[in-house]
Amino acid sequence: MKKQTRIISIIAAALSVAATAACTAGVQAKEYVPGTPVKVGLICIHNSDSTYDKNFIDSMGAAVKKLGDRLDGEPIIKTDIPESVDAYNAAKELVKSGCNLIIADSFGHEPFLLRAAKEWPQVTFCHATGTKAKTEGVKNFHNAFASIYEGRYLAGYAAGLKLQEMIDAGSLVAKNYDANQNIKLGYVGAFPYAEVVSGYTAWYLGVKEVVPNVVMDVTFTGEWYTIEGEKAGAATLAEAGAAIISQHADSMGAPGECEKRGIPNITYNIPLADKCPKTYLGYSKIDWAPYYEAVVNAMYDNKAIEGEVNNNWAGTIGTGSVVYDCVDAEHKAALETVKNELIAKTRRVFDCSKFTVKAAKADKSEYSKASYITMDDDGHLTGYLADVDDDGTYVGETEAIAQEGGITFFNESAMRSAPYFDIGIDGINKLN
Amino acid sequence: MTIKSLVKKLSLPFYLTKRIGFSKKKYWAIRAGGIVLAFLAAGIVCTCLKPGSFGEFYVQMFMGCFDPTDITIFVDLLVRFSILLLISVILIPPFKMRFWNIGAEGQILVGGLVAGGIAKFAPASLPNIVVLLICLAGAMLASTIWSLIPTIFKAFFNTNETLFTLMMNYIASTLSLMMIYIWVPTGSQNFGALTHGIFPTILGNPGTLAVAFTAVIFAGMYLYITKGKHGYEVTVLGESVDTARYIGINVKKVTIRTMATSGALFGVVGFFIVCAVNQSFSATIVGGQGFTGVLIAWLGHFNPLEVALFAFLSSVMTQGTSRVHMPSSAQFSAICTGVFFFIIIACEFFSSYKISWRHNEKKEASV
Repeated sequence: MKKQTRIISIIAAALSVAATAACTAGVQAKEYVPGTPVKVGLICIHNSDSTYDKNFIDSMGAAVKKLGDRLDGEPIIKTDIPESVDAYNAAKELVKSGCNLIIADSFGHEPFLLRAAKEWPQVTFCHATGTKAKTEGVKNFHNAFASIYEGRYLAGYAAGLKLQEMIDAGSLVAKNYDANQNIKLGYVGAFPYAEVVSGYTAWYLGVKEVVPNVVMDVTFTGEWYTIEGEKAGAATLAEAGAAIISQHADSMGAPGECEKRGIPNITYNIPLADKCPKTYLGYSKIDWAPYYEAVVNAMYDNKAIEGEVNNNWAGTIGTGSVVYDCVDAEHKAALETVKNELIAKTRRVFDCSKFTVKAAKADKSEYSKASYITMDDDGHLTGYLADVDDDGTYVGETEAIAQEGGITFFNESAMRSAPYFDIGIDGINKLN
Repeated sequence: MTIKSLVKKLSLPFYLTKRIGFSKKKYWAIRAGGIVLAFLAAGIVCTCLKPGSFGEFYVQMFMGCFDPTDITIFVDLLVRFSILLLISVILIPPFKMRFWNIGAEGQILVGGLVAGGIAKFAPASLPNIVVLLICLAGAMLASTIWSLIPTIFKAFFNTNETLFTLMMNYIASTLSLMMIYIWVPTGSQNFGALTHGIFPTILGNPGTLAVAFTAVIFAGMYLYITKGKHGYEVTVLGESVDTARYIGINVKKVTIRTMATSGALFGVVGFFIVCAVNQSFSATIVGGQGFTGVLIAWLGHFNPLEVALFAFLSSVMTQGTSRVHMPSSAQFSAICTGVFFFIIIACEFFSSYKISWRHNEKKEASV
């Protein structure tokens, strides 16, 4: 026992000495010299088994081919990094390995990446989907997103064309209609965040553009990646009578369930023509390659990142950051027309004349957005204060309704790259 | 066919017997061999993923834990080790009295949840140290309550504590998600970084001070377990409830007291994880260490020093392999840590039981 006591005191003493030892050495980042190859590191929350991360990794591959000599070797890709201090540690490892540009792909990585950005101002840190860059004002910390709502709108438009075919062919059944003879759609979402709300609203408005009498049920899984949860969500929507289903979640759950039940499906991030031949209609995704290229070129040429405002970069369908596809060759031309209208800004996804917000304005619940909404007598939005600044107050402070070319629209992703459209519009019904 | 012959026909070609009189030296030699084997296995896995990287793997692994040019790397290791050590050691008293508490994960999480909530909403006018103390008190209270719920049911209604504590983990995790949802009503429901109620960053790590406190708590726990009256009562209770009753130990009181103590200490761990190590909170912030702690307490035979050894080796394995550059997936580190524990458990099994082959037996009988 005496011997043990001695060992224990040695362990305790060693721990305290190590903990309090005054030593200032740490990881030193090297200053990047413009015009020299950029070493890139990428931090991913999962690996390429997740469609979300696969998209980041594949886009990196495409960017590497285009950037060529401007990059210092293959990017270092760290996968399965949780949203904890591990993300900071991964960033530290990448700094140690000599990376000049470090990109992280998951929303929850943000506080840890921000911490690293403050510690190593010589290194450029880019965080996809985050919201802090605008308010934090850390020079080497950037946020990026893409207007995926445009892609979803187009995917919704493709779904609308398919739905019209189904109506014409008489293949819809009584279950597909609600009491007011509206056709039911379904959407499996991960969380009720602005990112998801913005996405499903855009998709719904896309369908509605072709078939005006549609309503939509939305179910949330509460996880980004849950095969069982997404399957169950799709099953619930199918039982409720959804004629077409789409989703914003990362697994094969919902597309698989739709294939089993024969319900047409629009996917996210991956084309599934091979795995769901009967029901796959099309997909949309963000292509991150234009962003990677913009950042690396800006560093290399010692310029500001092209298209960046307040350290925020939002790619659009015009910059090639939003990609979509549709299997039906006959519909492609129609989609191309809509796409060109979006690029020319003669058409807006969140055109306020195309939807009403009466229910949201009448909402009396705790998290009601009613006080931010102003609308005309018909229920069309005329003003909305969105929570653009992530300053910890969670209060809408920025007017998001704009007018241009005779269209009043919700100006999504213009003041900050991450989506902030979070209004529950009429016709969309949350199931949980 | 009689049942006896059926059993004989179906039985495996070997059988197990408990080893008796196995020397301690031999036992530790086998364990040491197992540890070496586990580290070799990690190198082999790495070589399979990237041929020719066997030697480089160990260099990078060593540098990932003990880089002599960068003290912060070693501090990272100490922080990781401290948290795991604390969890494992705090689990010892309940385990010693055969209270199978596998709810450490949840007990730590609720402590972290309360600490995080207080730190997030504390008025900025309060000095940091005051906020920290309130966070600590809140975390200890929350974790104590969380560990007392199953304990009281066990003490008064004799419910199964294994299932109960396990279930409480899921409730804690869902409760955390719910609270984040309430606290951060818009945006992406992300807790964000704490700016107030946080430990200072020393040697590049905000968890450094937690390491110093861990040393103190560990020494205290060591004395509590091995020297004090409480430790003795716990040991007797674990050996036999009837004996404990016979010598006048109040079983209910000791059970509740022990679990309350370990609960309060888990609150401290949660406080460290949120206010020091991560300076943020999420429902997955404990990251399974509550379960790894169970494994380590068990492998260390509830002896604090043995537990310290395994917590250290496991930390070296996890951090070292996660900083190897070749397969740069964190899953690689998880695989290596898994292989490590697998081999150590196998050593445990083979040094406790002896395998005898039946055909040898027949030969012996016929001679």
